Amino acid sequence: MSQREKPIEIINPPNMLRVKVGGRIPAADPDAIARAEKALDQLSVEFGAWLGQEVEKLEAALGRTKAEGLEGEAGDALFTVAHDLRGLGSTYQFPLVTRIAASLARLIETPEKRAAIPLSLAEAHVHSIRAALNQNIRTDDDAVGRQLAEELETRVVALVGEPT
Amino acid sequence: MADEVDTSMAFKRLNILVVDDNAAMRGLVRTVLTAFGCEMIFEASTAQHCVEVLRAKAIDIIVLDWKMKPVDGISLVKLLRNPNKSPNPYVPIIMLTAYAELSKVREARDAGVTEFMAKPFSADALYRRIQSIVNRPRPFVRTKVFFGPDRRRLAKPDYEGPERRDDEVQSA
Repeated sequence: MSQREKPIEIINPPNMLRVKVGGRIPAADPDAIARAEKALDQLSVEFGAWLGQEVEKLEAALGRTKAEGLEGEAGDALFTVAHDLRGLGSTYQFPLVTRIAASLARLIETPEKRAAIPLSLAEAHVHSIRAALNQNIRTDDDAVGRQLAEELETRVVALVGEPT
Repeated sequence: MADEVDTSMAFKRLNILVVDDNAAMRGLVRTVLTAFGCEMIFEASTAQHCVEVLRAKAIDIIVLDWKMKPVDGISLVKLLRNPNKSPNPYVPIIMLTAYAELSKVREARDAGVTEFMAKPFSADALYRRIQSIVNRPRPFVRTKVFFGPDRRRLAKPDYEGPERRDDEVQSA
C-alpha cells in the first residue's frame, strides 16, 4: 500500500446477502455441481454447431483484415472473436481450439502488436482452428494437434514475448 | 454446519445479472445458475444495459465479462465502484473472462472486482465464487484512489513492505 493510498477506511457492510438467502451456502454441494454438469452435458449435442458458428465469425473477421489490414477496427474485431473462442473452446469440448485461440489472442491483443506482426501468422492460427474442427481433433493428446499448437505458440512468443 | 441452507433454496433467492456481449456465453452461465436453483437471472450485453438493469432491479451479484464494446468490463467495474455514479457501489462482481494472465487478474482486482474467474469456466468454480460472496464477503476499502473490496485476499508474493493497514479507520 503506497503512501498516496492513505488514510485507509475499512467498511464492513452488514451481510444482507446471507440474511436474504437464509444462512450459509454449503461449502461444497456435489449434487448441485452434478446437476449443472448434467445440464451442460445435455447442451453438448449443440456444441459442434455453436463452435462452428464461432469459427465462421473468426474466418469472416480474418477476411476483413485481409481487405483492411490488421490495424484499426478489423484487427480489433479479429481479436474479439479469438478472445471469445479462447473462452468457449474447452466448454464446447475442443480444448485444442482454446489453446490455439489463446495464442492468436496474445498475438493480436493490442494495436501495437497488430502493427508489428505478419498477417500470415494470424491466418495460420485461424486455419489451424478450422482444421481442428473439421478433423475433430479436440485435444493436444493428438500428436499433430500438439505439434501445431506448439509451433504457433513458439512463433507468437518470438514476436510478442511470453504472457505476463 | 449450523446456519447452512439448502443450496437450491439459497440460489432461488438470489438475483443474478450476467453481463457478456457473447450470447452463447450468457446462455452457458444461465444454464449452470439454473441448475443451482437460481430463477431470477437477468442478462445484459453492454455496460449501458447492465446499468439500466441495476437501476431497475435489486441485483445481488453480477457476473461480468471483460472484453465488451463500446465500454469494456474494467471501465464498467470502475463506474460501478464510484459511489457518486453507481446504482449500487457495493454490489459483488465476479469477473468472468478469457483473460487468465496474472497481470489481468491484478488489473481486475485493482479496478474493484470481488472475484476473478478465467474462462473456460466450470460449474464448481462458479459455485465456489458465489458461496464465498455469500458466506465471507470482503470488507470494502476506501482510500484517496480506490474504493472496492479489500484486495488482500489475493496473495502478493512481490510485497515485502510493512503491514499496510496500520492506520486504518474502522467504520460501520
